[in-house]
Amino acid sequence: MSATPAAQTTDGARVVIKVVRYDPDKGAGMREQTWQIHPQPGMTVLDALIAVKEHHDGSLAFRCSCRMGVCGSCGMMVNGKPRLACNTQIIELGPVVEISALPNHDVIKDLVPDLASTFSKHRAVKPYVIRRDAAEMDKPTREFHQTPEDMLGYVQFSYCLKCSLCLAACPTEASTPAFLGPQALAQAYRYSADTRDEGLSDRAQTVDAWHGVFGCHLAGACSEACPKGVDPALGIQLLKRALLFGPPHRTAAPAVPALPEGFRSPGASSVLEPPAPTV
Amino acid sequence: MRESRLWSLHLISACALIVLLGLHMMIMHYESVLRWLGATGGPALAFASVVARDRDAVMRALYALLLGFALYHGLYGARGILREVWSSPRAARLIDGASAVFGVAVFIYGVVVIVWAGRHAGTM
Repeated sequence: MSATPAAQTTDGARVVIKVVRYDPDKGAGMREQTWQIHPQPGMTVLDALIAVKEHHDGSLAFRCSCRMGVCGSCGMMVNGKPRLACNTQIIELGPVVEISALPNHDVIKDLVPDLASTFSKHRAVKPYVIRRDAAEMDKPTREFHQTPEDMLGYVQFSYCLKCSLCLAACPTEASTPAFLGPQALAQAYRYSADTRDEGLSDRAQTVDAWHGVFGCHLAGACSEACPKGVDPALGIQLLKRALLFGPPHRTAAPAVPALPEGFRSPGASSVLEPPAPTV
Repeated sequence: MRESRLWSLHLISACALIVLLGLHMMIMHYESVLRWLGATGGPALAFASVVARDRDAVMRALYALLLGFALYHGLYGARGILREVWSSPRAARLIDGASAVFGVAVFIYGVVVIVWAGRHAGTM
């Protein structure tokens, strides 16, 4: 159900929300639908979509969760740029707000992209700390030292929300779906640069490839789109260097020596046993 | 061979080409600069000059290096463009194979010409 015909300019009190919709159950292709809303101070694009869903069309589909820019669920194209809807103020966008699903992804419905390929590429780079000691990997028994300076070497890349805005912005991803993409490659560097990690050679099998790190042409659109300042383009270039010359840290972080059996710190309360593993 | 090795060879060949192409340009097209630097000899394209270069082992080695680096650098770049146009795994294997075969074949042919010229320079 469409509201009044869209006005091309605002009278100062209304904003036109124009959404590219798609419903696979109905068989038709993409279509545009518009509504007019009253922008409130501080209103975000997500607020506007929720208002449309509540008051105009309950069938409008979109993802959202935290509404504060930390979960990455509400990624969509807003006025030609991939953004988080909850992080984008309506008042900054002008009288007409054009919203569509993230490009470079299949669309499930309306503004809901299929992120399965994003997550499978992420899994492919082994996004976890890898140690040479297989027994310790399987059943961790100790901690590993890391200084604040060590953490600064990778912390920027740990801010990734997996929102897929970088993949939506990437021109190589648009032409070559097999490209691993800036999100996965930046995470490959995040873990390879972690001083606790010894797994660069494990990841090299996946990232040291044509569709891996060498598929990047340094367009930089990923870094421009990232809402958390991750700078995936930098991560990819640093990963290239790591593949040629080894990880930035020469030796992996040492393990904290195991405490003697039965040791208990003076004054410490009794330590609860961890719950039994469920897998 | 890992892609990182192929890529780093591309960078190394670029650096080598700066030197080798520079030398080539100086010798063949900037004789006035060479004379200013004190070099002797006739015009670069004079018969005697060509024969002298063909008989010089150092020049023959430089020609072979220039051929090798130029072939690698150019074919790696062309391979990259083609692989982006046709990105299926089968197309990738075909492009990689064709680039390698073509490059090796042209390099061998070029080296044969260089060696043959060295042996027969000025005798025909």
